[in-house]
Amino acid sequence: MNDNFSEKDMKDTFHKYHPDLNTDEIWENIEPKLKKKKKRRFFFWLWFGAVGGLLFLLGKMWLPTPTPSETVQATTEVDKTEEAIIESTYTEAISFPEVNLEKEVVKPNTVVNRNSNSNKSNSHSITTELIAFDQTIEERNANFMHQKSSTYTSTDNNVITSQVTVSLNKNNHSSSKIETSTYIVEENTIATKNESTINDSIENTNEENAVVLIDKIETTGKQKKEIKNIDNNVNEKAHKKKKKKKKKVVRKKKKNWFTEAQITGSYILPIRSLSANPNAPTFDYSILGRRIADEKQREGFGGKLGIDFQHRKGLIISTGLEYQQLNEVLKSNFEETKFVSQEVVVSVVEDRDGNIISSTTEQMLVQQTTTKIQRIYNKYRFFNIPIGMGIAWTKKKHHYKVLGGIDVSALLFKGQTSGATAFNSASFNLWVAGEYHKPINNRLSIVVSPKLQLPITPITSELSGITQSYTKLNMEAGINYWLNPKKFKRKRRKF
Amino acid sequence: MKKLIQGCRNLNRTSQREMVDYLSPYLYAICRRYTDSHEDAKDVLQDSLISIFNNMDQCKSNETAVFKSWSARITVNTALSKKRKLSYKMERNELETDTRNFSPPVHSQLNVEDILKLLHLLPEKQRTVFNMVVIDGFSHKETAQMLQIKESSSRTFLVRAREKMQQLITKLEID
Repeated sequence: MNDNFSEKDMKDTFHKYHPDLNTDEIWENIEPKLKKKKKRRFFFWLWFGAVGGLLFLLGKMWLPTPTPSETVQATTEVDKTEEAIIESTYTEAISFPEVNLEKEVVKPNTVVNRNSNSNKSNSHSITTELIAFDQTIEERNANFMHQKSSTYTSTDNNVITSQVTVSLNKNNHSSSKIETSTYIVEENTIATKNESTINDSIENTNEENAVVLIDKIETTGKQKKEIKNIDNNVNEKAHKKKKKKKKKVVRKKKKNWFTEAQITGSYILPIRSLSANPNAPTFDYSILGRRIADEKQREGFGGKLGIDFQHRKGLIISTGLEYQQLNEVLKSNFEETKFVSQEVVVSVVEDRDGNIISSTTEQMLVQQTTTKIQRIYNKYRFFNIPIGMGIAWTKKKHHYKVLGGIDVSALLFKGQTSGATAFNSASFNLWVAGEYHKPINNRLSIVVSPKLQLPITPITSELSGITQSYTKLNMEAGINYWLNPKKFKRKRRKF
Repeated sequence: MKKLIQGCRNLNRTSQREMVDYLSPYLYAICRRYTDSHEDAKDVLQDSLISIFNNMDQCKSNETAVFKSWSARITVNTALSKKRKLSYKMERNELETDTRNFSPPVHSQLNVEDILKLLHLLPEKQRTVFNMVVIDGFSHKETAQMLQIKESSSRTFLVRAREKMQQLITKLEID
């Protein structure tokens, strides 16, 4: 092959090669193995909707509703004179929680029912409705002291004129307005607003712009009434509240600390240290020797629930709860003395050959000494709270840690030491540990950890004359779980 | 084509069907070079298409050329892994036996079948390296990574493959 040309030729030939294939067959073979589109999570949205609805209802229940602290007193006087002048006067002292006044549509419950011929009853009925509207609106005009007087006058057969005077007094701001509306009562019991003339005179001691809100109230579509509510501060406050409600956008900070929990079991090799204190009041040299001679077996086991807080740069703060139990076997010989009543030979008569001819016995107390072997099982139960610091690093997906710190240890002793008595007490240990983590997945890993605990304080009383303490060599193994694992970036080829 | 790629990414069956029509000949040509028979090539092609469609997220680009090279790489990988799995050990006929039935091609008249026959006369590793480096355009580093061999071994295989190819063609021309 000469070959640059041939190779290029070969390459071109292959690139131009387009064999005829039965793609239907290929498609039939591969289609069942392809990923399917995920179905829409209907239940998720259902759940989402249900939660939303529940929240809405709760919101409705919890948000303050405009309930007056005092009952509105309203007196309606109906004058059945020729001009059928109806006056209604309201004197209210209502304190509501602040309500943002917005346009609302209120439909009256009362249905106008009258004949076109009976003007008096007609006007009376409409007026009652209008008063009802007034009440409704008054209930919504919250947070200020409010005085209002309305006068409805029926002049012609089918025309009613209403004059509403509203005076407001809130936080030393006072304002007033006069509103005049004319209603035409049509035949077939329908009242329609014809024209509305509004004269406002607003006095604002604070020289702020008065805000005028209009509440439109409609009946069955024929009766209309416009009432303007004047408020100086309500809108401003509402605006400020809205501003406060705006959520502050906080940028997510980088996670610095990662938490991991550990459950480990450990085998402990205890190294006992004994020392004598001759100045102690109860000191006895024999105790030391006896104990050393008696000791036969020492071993221990433990369990630990640890929590490590690891900084992303590798610093670790470690704590947890640790249980350790040291078992000790002491084997000692001791003599038991008893006094037993026995018949003892007191005198003997012998012949020349030494044969006993006669003897006299007597009942006497005899000392009987028995040597016994005693086994003592001592159990030292330690409840430790380790507090430590260290560093961690990762090498080829394996994690390593070196930690050191102090143990606050409470001892619960059960058994009997040979002479020197350990007692239930608190003590301190220094500890150094190394940890190796073999990751299973991004959360779980297997931990193997050798640990050395050096006692600072002994477990025996100073008065006993013997200082006893245990250096513990632990071999821990268990499982480590990252509560908020680090995200390890995978290198992916970009295409 | 961009829409087609996007459709495949969205697991749209129609787009995937169209993509099979579009890609199959191109990928089959690759499969054919790495396998010994049409059936094997078809199997590898099907496996490759499945992994292409199921891993479309990994192909970030909608460009046709990029997509094609990505799918080619997947196909080569699939072929190699399949080979490794089944540990194909097809007994190769002796050079002489094959050449007896093989009509000497002139370089300029080489068609695909001829080249394939020639390629299949090469030892397996040499053939694979030759395919990857010369025809598919992989670098020696990439080839070494994909075949799990040393880079220097890849170079050696290529040199030997070229030599053998040369011998083959010379022999065929003499015959």
